[in-house]
Formats: sequence, structure tokens, C-alpha cells
Amino acid sequence: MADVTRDDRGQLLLVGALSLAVLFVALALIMNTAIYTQNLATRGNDLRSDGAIEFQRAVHDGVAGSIRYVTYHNNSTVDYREPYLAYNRSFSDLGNGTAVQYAATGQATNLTNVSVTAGTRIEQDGERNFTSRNGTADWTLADGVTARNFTMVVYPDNASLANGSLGGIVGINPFQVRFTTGGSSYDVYVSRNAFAKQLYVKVGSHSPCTVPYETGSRVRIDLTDATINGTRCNPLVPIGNASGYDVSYANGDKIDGAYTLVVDETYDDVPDAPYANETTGKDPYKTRALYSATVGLTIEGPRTKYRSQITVRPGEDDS
Amino acid sequence: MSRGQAHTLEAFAAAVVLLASLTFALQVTAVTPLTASTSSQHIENQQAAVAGSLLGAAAANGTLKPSVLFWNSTGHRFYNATRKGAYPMGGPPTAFGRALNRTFVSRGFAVDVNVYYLDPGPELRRHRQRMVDFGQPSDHGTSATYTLTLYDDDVLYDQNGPTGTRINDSAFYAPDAFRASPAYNVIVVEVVVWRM
Repeated sequence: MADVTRDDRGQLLLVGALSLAVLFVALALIMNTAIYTQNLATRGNDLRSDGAIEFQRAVHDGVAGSIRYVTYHNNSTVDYREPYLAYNRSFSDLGNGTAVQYAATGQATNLTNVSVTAGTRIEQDGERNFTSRNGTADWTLADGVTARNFTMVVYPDNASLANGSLGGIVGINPFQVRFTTGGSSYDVYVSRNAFAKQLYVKVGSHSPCTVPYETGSRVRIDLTDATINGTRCNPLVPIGNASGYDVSYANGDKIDGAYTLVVDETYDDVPDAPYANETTGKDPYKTRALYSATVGLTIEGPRTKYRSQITVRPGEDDS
Repeated sequence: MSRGQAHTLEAFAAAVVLLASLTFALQVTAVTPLTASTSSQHIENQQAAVAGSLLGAAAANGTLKPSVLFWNSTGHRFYNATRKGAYPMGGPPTAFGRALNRTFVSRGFAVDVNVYYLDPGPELRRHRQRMVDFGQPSDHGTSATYTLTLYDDDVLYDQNGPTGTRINDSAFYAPDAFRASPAYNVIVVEVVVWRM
């Protein structure tokens, strides 16, 4: 290497320093690029589908509430026009309301009324045994139907309940709800142990679900939701999933309380004989109601468009 | 002797140039939204997810609607609310409010809960009723919403549970936006969260 003279050393210094500076700036640029890429890669929120799923849930709940309201309040004694009209109005208001609320977040929504299934609500309001209007203990509520929201409120203190035990013995002639379809059937027996203050609900040959009760209290058995007083009773679960069965009671004089269910047959197809006329205020009675509804929904945001069709049956397996 | 001074001067100049270029290069790197701090993007995302889950869980437990209906119609405010009808520095005295306090307030997050309802008129318009008011959110606040529908047969709630007063019979903050139908109003509950 040639000798570096005094004059050259100053130039070398400058060049060396400048090249170092350029090197450091280049390194900073590379580090910035790496940080930027990592930042972009970990951003995951722009294309969320939460808005669409949330909207579907809101529509489902809104339609379920409309069906529930019409089923319990808009019961025409003439034909199905009043419940349909009330439901249609409620549905279009739901569409307008959600459109305004979602527009505030920059999303356009639309609801379409695809179809509504008429049904019949069978109910016993007052505390009474579960016999038909004439006092028949074994009778059929409806045949070839699917039920939703089948709830029984039982008064376990009543002496009419058969005395059973935990070992699987249901007592003599206990009250029975039968869901018969083709060859198979689900039998739900309700009995109690008065000494231990326990109510037994036994499905077929499964072991019974037991519920303790206090004097004067009531037990709520939800057959389609498979819960008793809010606690899940697993043997009841297949009932909520079944469809197209005959619902009948056996030994209806061995139980006291109230019940309600909605079936997917029209008012005229459900047998007349076991029921009192709904205008008389006597139990049990049947009345026009809505069973389910199918709606189409669309939600469009800046980057996603979601379209779906859902069927809403309130009270059938948690829906 | 002057040669030694020149050498030293040269060394100093080299050191200064080196230092200056190093400082310049380091100052040029960016602080990004993901840089660890109390306002990084990850924390915002997590807050939004927790707020959304809180609303979903409250709705599934059936505690959200009673809180929306926890209205004192004679006083035109939520029960025991003091600040413009809203609760300052905490959630309402309901199950939803307690969950809100446990999830956010006790961990140093500030929360605003707004209830948006519809006002009928020639056009439907959105109005806001505050439920929880911690003040103005910071720039790093996130929010989550939940939509629910009220019906004509819903009743107001008080400390003892449901009352017998139907909402369309009372001075509820939301009016009956749909007079001709069973639906009463469409409500959006919004939870805004930010770090105090």
C-alpha cells in the first residue's frame, strides 16, 4: 500500500466518515422496513366478520321476540290474518330499525321476509290437573307435529303425584308425556318422593333427573330446552331434536300445574274435542299462533358482503 | 509538536463524525403502533375483544336487558345515577354493572357505556342515552356494540327485579318508535374502553 501522506489523511478521514454515515442510514432504513413489515403482518382486524355474525344474531333474537310476542298477544279467534299482520309489521320495523342503527357504523343492512309457519298454541294457564277438558286422563294433544317451547310448571306438593324413588322405580301409574313417532317413542315420567322432597323426571329407561323442592314451590320442566328449573337434564335432549311425533298424556290426573306448547299444525288441524273454547277462559285451550319464520338477511360493509337465510323457532333447543 | 496536535484533532473530528452519524441513524427509526407502550395496537385489540365478550356474556346470562331497562321513570334517570342520568366512575348496581366493574374498572380501564335508541319522526334518527360516564375517551379508546330489540310488553326493572310498569306506559328514555307493531325500539349498547 502506498504511503499515506499528511494531505491524503484528511481526505481519507472525510471519505471514511461519510461512508460510515451512509452505512448507518442504510441500516436504519433496513430496520424500519423490517418493523413496518412486521406491523402490517400482525394487523388482523380490518376484515373481521364480527359485524356480520353479530347482525345475524341480532336479527335472530329480534325475530324470535316478534314470534314470541305474536304467539302470546295476537291470538285471533277468527283466522290467521291478525297474527301474520302483527308479525309482518314487527318484522319490517325491525328491518328499518337495524338499518338505521347499523348505518351509523357504515354498514348497509337489509332484511327480507321469506316465510312464516302458522302454528297453534296449546295452553293451560291455571293450576289444574293435566286431563282434557272433559276430565279424560289419557288423551292426545296433537298428532304428527313438532313442538317448540314445551314447558310444564308442576306443583310438586300436590298429593296426586305418584310416589317414586331414585332407584328407577317411577311409582304406580305416574303421569306420563309420550312423544310417539312411527315405532319409537319418548316417555317422560314425572313422580316424586314426598318424604325426601324430590321430584323425579325419568325419560324412558335412563336414570331419573332429580330436583329438590320446598313446600309451596313450583318446578319448571322445559321439555324442548331439556332443563328443569334451569338445570340441564340430559335424557331430555333428544326430545328437542325430534320432529313429527304425536304428543299425548297418560294419567293426566296424577299431576297438577300449568303447561304451554306451540305446535306446527294450524288451528283447524289440531283436534277440537279435548280443548275448551278459548273465549270461555277454561283450561286447557288452543289458540292460533306462529310456529317459526324464515328470514333472509344481508349486511354490506366497506370490505365484506354477507348474505344468509335463517329459520327462527323460539324455544326449540335453545333457539 | 504540531503534528501530534493535528493527530489528536483528527481523532476528535473522526469521533464526532462517527457519533453524529450513529445518532442520526438511530433517531431515524420509527415508533410504530406495535411498539411496546400503554397504547399499542395489541392492547387496543385486546380491549375491544374483551368488551365484545363482556356484552355477549351479559346478553347470554340475561343481565344486559334488565340493565338497559333499569330506569327510574319518575326521576328521568337510571336508579341512583347522578351525572346527566348516567353513573359516574362505575357500572350500574346490576349484575351487568358488577361484571363491568370487575372486568374493566378494577383493572385501571375507564369505560363509557352508551345506549343508542331510535327516535320516530319523519325519519328514524339515532339518539344517545349515557349509562356509564367516565368522561371523554382518549385517542386510544376502542368500542364494542350489541344490538337488542325491545317489545311493547317489556317492563321496567328496579332493585327488586321486574316491575309491573310496561315501557310503553312510562317515561322511558326511548320512545315507542314503532307504534303500529309489537316492536318498541331497536337498541344498541356500546361499551367504550380506554386506559386511564
